[in-house]
Amino acid sequence: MDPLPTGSTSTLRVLNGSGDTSVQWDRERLAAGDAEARAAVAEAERIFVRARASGALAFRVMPGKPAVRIERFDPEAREVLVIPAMVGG
Amino acid sequence: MSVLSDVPMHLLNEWLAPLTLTVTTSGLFVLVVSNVLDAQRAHARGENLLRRILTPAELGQLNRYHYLDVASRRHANRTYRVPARAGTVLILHNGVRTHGVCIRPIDPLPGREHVLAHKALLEADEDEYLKRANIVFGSRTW
Repeated sequence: MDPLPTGSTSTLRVLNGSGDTSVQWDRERLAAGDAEARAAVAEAERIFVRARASGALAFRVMPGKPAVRIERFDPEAREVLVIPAMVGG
Repeated sequence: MSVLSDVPMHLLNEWLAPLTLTVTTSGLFVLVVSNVLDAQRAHARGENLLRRILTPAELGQLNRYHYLDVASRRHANRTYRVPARAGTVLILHNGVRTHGVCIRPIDPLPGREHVLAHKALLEADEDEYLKRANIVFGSRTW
């Protein structure tokens, strides 16, 4: 189980058939130029771009608030959810 | 091959065949157990995500009634009823079923995780959701 995000923790989560893939980073440490945070963001962005290229849809989500669709990776978002393309059944 | 040809046939039948069967069966057993464990882990991750993203009220509804109601942000009195198990999404107007639509993630998601996919797209881009969906019952006029 992922640790619950603290105040400045962001998470990218890509839903897929095996559950999900996630990357976390600390926004405050990112702003301070922390190398580990920058590496995590770079990894998250790489995963985001690859998923979007395969047709996945991305959203900024927060409990109790409507999801907002995003086209570009946002390192300032608290939680980014990427879902597989939705198709008519 | 020359070594095998020197072994009496009855020894091959008595030992090699059962040994091969045992190894194959064991391998299959390990594969099945591994797949079951993977599925359980995926399911647990999905449930954890539901708890993180849904409000307690939404999660309560999903647990109790096995569906999640997502209110339309574009049409007053319209609600999308997303089933906990993959299936037809009902569109309700003032609580009355008017349409049924079929839409799903192209990559099947474990457990109830697909509910999050429906909720996110409905909230963020309802028109796109309806454009992608096939109508099971009801007219194309929304």
